[in-house]
Amino acid sequence: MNRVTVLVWLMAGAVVGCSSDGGSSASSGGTSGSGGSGATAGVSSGGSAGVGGSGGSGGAIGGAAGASGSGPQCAAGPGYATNPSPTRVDQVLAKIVDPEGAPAADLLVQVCGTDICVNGKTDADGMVVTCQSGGQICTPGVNPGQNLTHPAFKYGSGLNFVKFAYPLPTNSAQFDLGTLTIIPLDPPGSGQAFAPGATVTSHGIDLTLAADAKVTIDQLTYLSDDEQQFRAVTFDPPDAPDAVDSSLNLEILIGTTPIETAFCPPATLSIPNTKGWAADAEVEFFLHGVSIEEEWAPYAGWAKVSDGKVSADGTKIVTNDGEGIPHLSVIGVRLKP
Amino acid sequence: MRIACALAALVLAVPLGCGSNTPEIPAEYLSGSGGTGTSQSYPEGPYGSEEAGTIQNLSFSAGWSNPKAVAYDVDQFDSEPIELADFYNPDGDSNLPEVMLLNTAALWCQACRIEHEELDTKLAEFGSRGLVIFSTLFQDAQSNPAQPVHLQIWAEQFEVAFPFFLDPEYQMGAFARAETAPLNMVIDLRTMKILKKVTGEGGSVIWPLVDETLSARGR
Repeated sequence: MNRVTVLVWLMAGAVVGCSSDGGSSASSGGTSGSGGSGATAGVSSGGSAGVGGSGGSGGAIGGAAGASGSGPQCAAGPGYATNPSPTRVDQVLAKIVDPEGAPAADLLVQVCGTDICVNGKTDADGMVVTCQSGGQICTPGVNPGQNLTHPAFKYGSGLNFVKFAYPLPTNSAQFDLGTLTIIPLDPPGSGQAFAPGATVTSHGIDLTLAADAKVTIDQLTYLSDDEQQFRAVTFDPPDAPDAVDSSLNLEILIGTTPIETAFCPPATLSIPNTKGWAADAEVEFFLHGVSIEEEWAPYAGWAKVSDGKVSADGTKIVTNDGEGIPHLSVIGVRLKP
Repeated sequence: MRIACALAALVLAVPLGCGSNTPEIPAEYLSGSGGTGTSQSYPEGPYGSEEAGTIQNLSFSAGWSNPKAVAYDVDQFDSEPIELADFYNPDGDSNLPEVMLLNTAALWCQACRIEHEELDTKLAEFGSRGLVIFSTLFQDAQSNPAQPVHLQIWAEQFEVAFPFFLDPEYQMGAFARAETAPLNMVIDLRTMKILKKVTGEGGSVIWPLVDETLSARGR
């Protein structure tokens, strides 16, 4: 497996062991490009987390760019990959609207399995369509017309809108998902760049990186510096009912980008206590899986990544020391059952 | 020279620089019809897009025969277009590849990324026996035509060590829709016939076929 390719090492620091939130990593052998052999902290641009490989190449490249020493070492995520049987998906229909109910036009949408991806877009009415001939001829829906392994409907690019992956049931080949709400993000260029030892903030959502942190950004999706800035937004579960697992009873949702940015060690997340939960109340942080690599959450599903608690003054909800957010995506928070 | 450069770098794994032109795509290669195949003989048509059909002599202008050898430098794209004819091996010359995996990728396609993570491993496994991998990148993360910078980032990230070219007008659309990726085709380089065509990751089918085909030819 080859992944991280461009590393800019910013600071030197000590080796850090980063826990993997338990669980076996047998199915997700990649190590997220961790393990630099040069200087130890910094921001890199690479791919998404690895699966089934032998470790990222970021370490070696980091070593070439750095001087000496070892970078932070983080274990791979638990890994949630399964091998379900492919299922037929002929057509997926949906309408995408913004929170005000206005059609969200000209958005990229996808029906992706873990084996193949099929693109579509939204038209001026927010309807999902497939277009040919340079966009001149469009037909309704995304139309794979073939078997997909673990199919999901993905909407929101993660650039200007929060990205979701809605799992498609396996009991049908035709899907009409109705109307889905998309959550806007502040535009690229309006966020803050990651830096080890620093806190980035967006709409009161703080993400704090360790002094020796290593950050890996998906450069294939987020090319420019503007696109690689941290941006986040809080929204309520009813705004994304189809992609949020209602059985988890998540009460606060945080959309973040750049999607799949990896932190080693995990970053401390602090969000406003918009629910007025009691001071010192224990909470749980969940991550939404939009990546087919499934290192930190099942594809189109959710997985717990950290415990946390409400601050003593009751104003913030913060991940626990030694835990945190390993990977950016949609984050859900609930009171600990 | 073209063939010697490309195939020597691929089969013998010798890092050679194969040109230094800037990545400008000549209009004749943006027609979607492929190249002319003038570099050497090529099977006569009719050509097909399905299994058992003979693949047309596609030509790609912007990219590298051996990206790793030029450190993925977009200023060192091959000076001449690459054609499928460059790989045609009608006599089964054992010094040249006999089977090609022709692959598409797009930045929006996560399955393509997963696939490319293992292509170098497969090349290491089968390359010395006569496999060549040829990949084309056709769209960016927003489904716009891929640009040289995208080819470079992709090649660097996955340390691509086989022919890797832009396909901004999606010539490979003759075989699969642009909204679908990846596409994988196994080509018999003795005949330029499509042995297998898979839309989607098809490793469980492709690699046994490659192994079987090469074994059948004593490689």
